[in-house]
Amino acid sequence: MEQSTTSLVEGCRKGSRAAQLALYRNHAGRLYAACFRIIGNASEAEEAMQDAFLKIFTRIGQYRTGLCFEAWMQQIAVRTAIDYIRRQTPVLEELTDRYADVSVEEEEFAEENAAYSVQRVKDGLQRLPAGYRMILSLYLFEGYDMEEIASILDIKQVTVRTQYLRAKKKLLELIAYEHNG
Amino acid sequence: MDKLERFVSDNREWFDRDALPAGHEKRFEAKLAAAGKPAGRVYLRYVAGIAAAVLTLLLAGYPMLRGEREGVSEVCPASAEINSLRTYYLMQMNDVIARIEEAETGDVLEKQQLLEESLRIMEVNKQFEKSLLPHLPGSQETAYALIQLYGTSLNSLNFMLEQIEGRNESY
Repeated sequence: MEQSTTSLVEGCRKGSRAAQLALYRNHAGRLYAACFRIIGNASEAEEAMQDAFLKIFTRIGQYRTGLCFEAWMQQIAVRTAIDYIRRQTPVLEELTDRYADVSVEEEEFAEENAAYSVQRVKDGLQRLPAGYRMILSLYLFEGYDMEEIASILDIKQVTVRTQYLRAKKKLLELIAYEHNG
Repeated sequence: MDKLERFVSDNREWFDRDALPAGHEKRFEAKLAAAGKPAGRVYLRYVAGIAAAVLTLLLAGYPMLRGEREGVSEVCPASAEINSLRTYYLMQMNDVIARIEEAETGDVLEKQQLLEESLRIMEVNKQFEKSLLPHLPGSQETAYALIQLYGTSLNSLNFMLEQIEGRNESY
């Protein structure tokens, strides 16, 4: 952990407003990006990110040196964003779309032919339904495996895998649509 | 690792570069300032507001407030309900305060502040019971008003208990 973060954490433990604001300035961008990927709306992502910081300051007494502080903050932000989504929208889509069964061949074809760019992937994520966006964010960006995602979302692991494949297929189609116009 | 995973992994730094909404820092400073007040004080004002609203509601519904009830039977089905509600809520609130007192925390000052706020909340309820409740009829409206006031008080106390216990979801 960098010295600056160490001293800021100590300042936050003592309730220093200056330390809290400095920590916010240093890490708001990263935590906002995580919340935005999950929530997909700028103002709501900001609210979730800021609520996460308030939780971080409240719980900073429980943080133990030795754990990665940035990862600890990231976890809190991700969980806050997930709670936010859960309060407002259904977590996962019903089996209603035509991507209900994604064959291996379809998956490979879509993947090979997608024109990847950071902006297209970002735009595609924003346009996904909330449940798909959450699964992709947790797996691709937050580094959770299927078992962990199942535990977080309180669903079966096989459902996570199925939803991930559907979500990925939909994202790739959106990326292709963006590329082709 | 499939192609999408590899792409995200290779370009991760760029994915974390979303521009923050303009003015976010000012909004956060305001939120932080509001959160910095002991939670109890924020809720105490809310509870006092509810108490005032309850009083207004009841006074508006009963044009004359007398020191004794005229024409109101002492034996009223709603009175028993009101007494049960009082007992229930007071037991719950006292239980939460006891748990706040017993909570182990490194921040003694915060605990002391929360206990002081919890006592102020109980004082509001006590004033309601002492000066207002005896003059109210044993009606469903009174029962409803009591639920509103005591329910809010209990929520405030539970919030303070969560703060002191530092409830942490399993991350």
